[in-house]
Amino acid sequence: MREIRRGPVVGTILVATSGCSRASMPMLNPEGYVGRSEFELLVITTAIMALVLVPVIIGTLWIAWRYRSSAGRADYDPDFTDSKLISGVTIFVPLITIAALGTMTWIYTHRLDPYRPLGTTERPYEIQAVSLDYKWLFIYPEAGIATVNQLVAPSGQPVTIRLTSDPMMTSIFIPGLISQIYAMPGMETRANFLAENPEQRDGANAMYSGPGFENQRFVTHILAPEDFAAWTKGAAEGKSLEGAEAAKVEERLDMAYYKKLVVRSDGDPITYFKSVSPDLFQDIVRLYMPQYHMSSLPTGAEYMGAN
Amino acid sequence: MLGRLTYDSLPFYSIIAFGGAAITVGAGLAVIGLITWFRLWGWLWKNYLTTLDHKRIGIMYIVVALVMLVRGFIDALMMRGQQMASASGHGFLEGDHFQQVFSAHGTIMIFFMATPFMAGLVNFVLPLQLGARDVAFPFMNALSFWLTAGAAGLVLISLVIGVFSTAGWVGYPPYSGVERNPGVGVDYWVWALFISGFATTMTGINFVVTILKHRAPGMAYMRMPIFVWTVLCSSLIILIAFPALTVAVALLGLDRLFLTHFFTADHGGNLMNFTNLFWMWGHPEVYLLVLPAFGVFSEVVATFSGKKIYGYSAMVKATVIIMFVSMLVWLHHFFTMGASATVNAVFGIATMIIGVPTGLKIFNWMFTMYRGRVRFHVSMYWTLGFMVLFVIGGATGVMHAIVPVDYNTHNTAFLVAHFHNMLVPGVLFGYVAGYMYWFPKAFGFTLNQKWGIRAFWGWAIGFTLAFMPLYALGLMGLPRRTANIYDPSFLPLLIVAFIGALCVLFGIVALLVQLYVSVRDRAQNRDLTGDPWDGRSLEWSIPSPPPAFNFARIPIVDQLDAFAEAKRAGRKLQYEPAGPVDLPVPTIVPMVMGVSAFLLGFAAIWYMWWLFVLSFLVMLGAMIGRSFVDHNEFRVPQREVEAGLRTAAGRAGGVQ
Ligand SMILES: [Cu+2]
Repeated sequence: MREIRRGPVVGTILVATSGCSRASMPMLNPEGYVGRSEFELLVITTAIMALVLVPVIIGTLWIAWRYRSSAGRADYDPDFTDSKLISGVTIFVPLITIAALGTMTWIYTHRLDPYRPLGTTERPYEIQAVSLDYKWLFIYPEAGIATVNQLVAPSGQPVTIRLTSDPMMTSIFIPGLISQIYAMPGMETRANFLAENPEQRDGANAMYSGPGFENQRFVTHILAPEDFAAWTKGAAEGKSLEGAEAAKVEERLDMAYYKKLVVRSDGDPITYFKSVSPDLFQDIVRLYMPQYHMSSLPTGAEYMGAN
Repeated sequence: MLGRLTYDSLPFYSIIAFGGAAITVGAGLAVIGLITWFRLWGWLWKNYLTTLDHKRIGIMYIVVALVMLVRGFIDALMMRGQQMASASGHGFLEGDHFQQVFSAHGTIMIFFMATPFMAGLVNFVLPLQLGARDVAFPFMNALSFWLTAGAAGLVLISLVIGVFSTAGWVGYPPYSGVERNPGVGVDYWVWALFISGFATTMTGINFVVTILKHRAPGMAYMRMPIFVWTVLCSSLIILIAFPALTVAVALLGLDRLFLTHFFTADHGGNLMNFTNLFWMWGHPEVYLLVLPAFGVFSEVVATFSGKKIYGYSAMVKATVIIMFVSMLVWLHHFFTMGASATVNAVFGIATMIIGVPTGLKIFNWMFTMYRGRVRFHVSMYWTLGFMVLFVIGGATGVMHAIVPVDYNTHNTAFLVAHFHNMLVPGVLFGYVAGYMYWFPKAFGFTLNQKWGIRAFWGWAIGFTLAFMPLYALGLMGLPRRTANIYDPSFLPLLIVAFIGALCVLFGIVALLVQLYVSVRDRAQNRDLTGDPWDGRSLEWSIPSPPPAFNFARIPIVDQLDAFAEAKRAGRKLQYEPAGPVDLPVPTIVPMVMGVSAFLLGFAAIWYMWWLFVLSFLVMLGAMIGRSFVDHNEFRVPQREVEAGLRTAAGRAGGVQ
């Protein structure tokens, strides 16, 4: 089924691209509920739009050619400015298209609300992400560890990322896995995902935040639950992820160390912190917004109930 | 004395920066030299620099727009080149040069190319289509132009003295804040937008009042040409949207200069408010640019199909609906800022709703050609090219409005491709079509058709090659504004895009060649009738170029397309009796105020407060002084008006 869906997209809009491998077309090779639904939506809407576009483009050129003055057609009628039939079609075609797409927008926007935790009763696994100039800091509060420029998450389990930034406005982007969402200083935003299989994906800051923003990238590793548990244990002892670049290891990430980390830099190596001071994320947000309090993460069911 | 301006601000630190500065200064000196060589200063002074004539102000606007188009396009070429070169590991732009270039490109193309081009076309055409002798406020009109020119001058001079902003054309804080960017770059951007914001707002006021108060007798609202309707709606958008921008950049300026906290992340400021205010202007801006282009297409299609526009009243309603809805959709620029699903969905659907009237317009242009006699004048090429390419951009626009799709395409090259797909085929093709359509009206001879068609193909093919790959690159996850391409697999598509940019370069060169060839061969291409295309609206009923007072006798309008209907029925238009005409006296004051605004901005950017105060006082003095001038109109006696009528009749074969 997935193969069939991919067909028209590859065929129609992306002829020119050099193949459609996972690495070059992450969005068209989605993983997990969010990525897959968003891809599905992309295909359906492209198809609907093409259904309207192609006739319009052909019709325009055809009419212009058919009624060229040199053809000298006899049915020239300078007063032909109104026809119930044509006017009906010209209003209903756009109207129906937009009504269909509008309905889909309503449904999918609610279904894919980035704030909605996936799964129903299961409490999502929490990861905190801080966007720095020009690197990403990920804190795993449950395991008490932190990483720079490497995101590791479990599969088969809903995950919530709490996001903030210091000091620029940026946007987290893991094509094919999560919805893009802004990270802003003094604020918390969220992204949710549920990956089914272990895999690897590139992540980035998609929002320009100064020269060097394009180096604010990271690799996302989705691990099977037992591997993930082993990784958190290992990371607390300074062990790098197997099969990935060896990490630089630091002891403890507290506010004092954070002040060093926040200084603008480019191309930082993957770094592991064996331990993290417990309220660091909250303290980072409070640098800008002293009134901020971190609330506990809802489950999918609780979020829907509250909405 | 010089504030923070030092020797280091001059562009001697890099070859590319120096080259840009040298070209800017060299081109400026060359123009001055040529004017001096041909002894044109007196003519220029009398006919253009001091004029209050809407036609000449319109022409000056378009000259500014074309100059800025070239400048903005060189930026585009550098960006395409840098991205392509860096994908193979050899980028040539160093430091933050790439960032300056894309910031300048966006700022120039929106504020100093598209907006002046629109203001220029409207200035020239609007009073002629209304049967009016000028816009409602000729002095304010000239002032708007000179302020725009002053602001454009600030952007140009930033290439020579200091640097330009690296914050993009949207200038989001906190990046554009003084903590992160204390230099002059963002200040150049702030002051250029602030000054041109005032200018455009005044332009909007002028156009609205002109349409409301200066229509020819009998021209009821539903007898106005579609172009006039689109200008009315576009001007109303200006009045509502532009103050939001002017306020947003002014508050940002206060944050930067006086360390206030409107848009900072801490101390109670809120950076999201800037995003909100900016797009409250930014989205309507697109529509205020594209509506007049729709107006041009409507005129062109009807004229060259030899038919009335299909579904006139539906077109008017569609325009008005677009005007209203365009002001209610700005949130789609930040679906990813974390608003609730319901808020996002409402704005997404509102955005799509614009697709209905726009789609209707496309169909109406199609059916205007249906059962017509389509002549393939070069303006028709631009129009057909627009219809084919614009619908693709419309489709990707609707896709962006579907919130979860936007989550994936936001901030990527896909978005860049989308809005260029609206602004190049939608806006620019429209303006160029208008330029080629009305050129003979302005200068009395037609433009070379062959070079016009070559320019069209350069633009159409170039646009397609340059931006279709960007759609794909966006889906491959390439964030916009990336200076150094990190993934070599992007290279093939970037090469295609660069080739596209070269085709556009050919298109621009062809536009210039067309102008040169047409001026050279003007004797063969004289428009003696005043109506070279068998036009439909009132501007074609007067000689080309029109006399200073436009209409020797004011026409009386009894229906839509009154002029075309009169021609078809083989009768003449009805006119009010001729009489003396009052015309505004040329004045130097608007130019003085424009130059002062330039100096004021320049002084504020470099902290030269003495110059700031001085230029402010000059502006204030000029304004107060002007209000004491009682005799700001001169009377063209009836004899001369009638003489104009006779020569016009002689030349134009009795058109009027
Ligand atoms: Cu918009």
